[in-house]
Amino acid sequence: MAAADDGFGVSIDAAESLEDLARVLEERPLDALGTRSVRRALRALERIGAEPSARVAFAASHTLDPLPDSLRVVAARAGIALRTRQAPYGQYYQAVAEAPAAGGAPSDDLLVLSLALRDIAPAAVFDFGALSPAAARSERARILEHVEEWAVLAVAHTPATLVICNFPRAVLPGLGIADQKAPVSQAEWLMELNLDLLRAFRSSERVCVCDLDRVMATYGAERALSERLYYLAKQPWQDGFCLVLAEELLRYVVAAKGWTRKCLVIDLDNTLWGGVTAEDGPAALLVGPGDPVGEAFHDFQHAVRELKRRGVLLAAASKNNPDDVDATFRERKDMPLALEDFSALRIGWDPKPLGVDWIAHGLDIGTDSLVFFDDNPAERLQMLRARPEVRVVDVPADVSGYRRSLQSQIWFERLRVTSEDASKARQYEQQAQRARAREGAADLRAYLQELDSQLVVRAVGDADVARVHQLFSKTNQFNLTTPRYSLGQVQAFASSVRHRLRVASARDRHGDLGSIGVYLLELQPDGVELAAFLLSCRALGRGIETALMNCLKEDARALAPDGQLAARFQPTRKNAPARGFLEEQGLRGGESAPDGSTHCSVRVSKLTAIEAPYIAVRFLRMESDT
Amino acid sequence: MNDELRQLVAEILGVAASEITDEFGPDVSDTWDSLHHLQIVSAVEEEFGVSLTMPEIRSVDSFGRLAALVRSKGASA
Repeated sequence: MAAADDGFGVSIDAAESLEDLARVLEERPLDALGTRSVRRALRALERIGAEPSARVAFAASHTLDPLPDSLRVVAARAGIALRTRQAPYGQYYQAVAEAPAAGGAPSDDLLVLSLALRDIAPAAVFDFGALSPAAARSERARILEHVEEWAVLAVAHTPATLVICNFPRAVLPGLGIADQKAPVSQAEWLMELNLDLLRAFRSSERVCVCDLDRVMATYGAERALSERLYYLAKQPWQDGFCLVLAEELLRYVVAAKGWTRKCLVIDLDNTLWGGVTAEDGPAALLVGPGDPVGEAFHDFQHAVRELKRRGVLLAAASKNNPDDVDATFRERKDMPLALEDFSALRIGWDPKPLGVDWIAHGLDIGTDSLVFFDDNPAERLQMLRARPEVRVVDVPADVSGYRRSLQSQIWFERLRVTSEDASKARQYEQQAQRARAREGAADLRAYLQELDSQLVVRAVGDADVARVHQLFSKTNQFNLTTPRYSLGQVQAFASSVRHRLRVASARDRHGDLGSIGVYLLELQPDGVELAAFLLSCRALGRGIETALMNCLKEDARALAPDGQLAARFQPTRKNAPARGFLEEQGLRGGESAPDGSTHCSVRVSKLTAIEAPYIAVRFLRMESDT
Repeated sequence: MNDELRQLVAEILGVAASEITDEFGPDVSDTWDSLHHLQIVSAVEEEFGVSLTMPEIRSVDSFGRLAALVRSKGASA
């Protein structure tokens, strides 16, 4: 047996902080953690007592243990403290029917639902042959309806993002291999049921379908399931599988909380291609068909490109001569990646921690938005030590594992890839063009005039909710109060008569900037309160904030002509650019509260628009205008 | 083997090994509930390389009974 006091266990016991614990747990793959280490990690978590940064609730038709605990451990391994709770056994319906309405008790970020087919449709599992084709169809419809009803209830009663597990197909058909020839095949029925689920929620912003079927197939259903546990405790899953499923659920946590990292910083030699370009020359580099190693690098480059499509910015950090790198991309047009795919290049002889500082600065993002991928363990170690906030991918020794290692990263997950995401890299390129034009322009006014900015401000509609949620999650600099609203809260504000939630999109002669600003006004007994006001940093520096504020003033006049407009600035580590903005816009006060925030107000009747000379504004105030 | 088993059960229940007498079990301990019962069984199976049937699992009503069962499965002392 494994020694009770192996070094790994001792290190877990010795962890003094969440970061310590994460570092220790990361030393082992999930598969090798073992129930013993999981138990020790749970004790360590209790001892450390880190403040949870996300809350996950569970509901199921079966016993969930040890899934919630597994999720806490898997999250800790990623440096995240989670709080979990679960509905009493089998009470998944009651749990959402009785949940307090949004805005009540501390809200859950995620609500996970798992239904076992043997619980909700035993005939379809154990007596499928007795079902006529019509009965099988109506059974499918009944299950789907049951799930949809649950989702409607849950959406109405909690602000959480819902994650509904689909149904594993690991059922041996009653007819054996002849199932495929039956008028209604059990395997087909299950596939269609999962398709129904996928399609039912595809367009929903709040409801996601966790592909439990795929997760289980990848892990191995025979290892994942335990009949004995099910009979003894109504618990379908083995401990080891719970860790794997927990990691899948953690992806939803990262995405729902907006913790998605913005940029992949990647090495070149022996990471994107086999060989060293300065020594071997572009022609000899291994990348492309005809050689096993070259094929692996080729496919890996495709995976990197796919990330770009997801909205991840690509940056290269390589110890090389810039000319050699240029020559490689010029001469190797057969590579999936081109130089233009990179939003930033740091080619030189700096230590890489300085390289990532430079990259982050150039892209105007934090180093805590970076993921670092380098084949060289020494470079990775240096990065881990010097920049602990950068996520360093544990790159496998062999290139055949690179693609999976990149694709399985939880830090690039998002619930939906919006059109904004897909064009993210282009927007950064346009931003660079703007910066160059600005340097070239004789003076700022001439530059702004030439820029020809056009702003459209409108009520947040269904199509905007995902992007607005993303703006709330990610905007750090020009953000007065930095509220991190959940998707459910954003939806609630959008349809509330007590609120005005507006989104602004902009374009200029260099291109479309997309949706870049949001504000939220809340009706109060004595007037209106500005609960949130933010502008993406790519739209700063041209007066859009003033133009947006003018729209807000119009809203305030319509809502409470005789009341007060109250607002506050809540300082954070990053939002200095928004300091003093309220005062510039004509609000008075500026007293500091004990929490460091500054409170301002002004009578709505005293509000006047401030000229924003270089911005053409269209304010679509009525819903019907949009 | 008894000591290792005792240590394992103590660790799962979060109590001192000295508390785990042969009579210690679900009837005398609130901690040893049905959830912990299954955790103990799967840990024992994992650590000692044995496999228990459902009736055997249900028959375990004390530490002594568990130890006897594991011994009868041929786990080395």
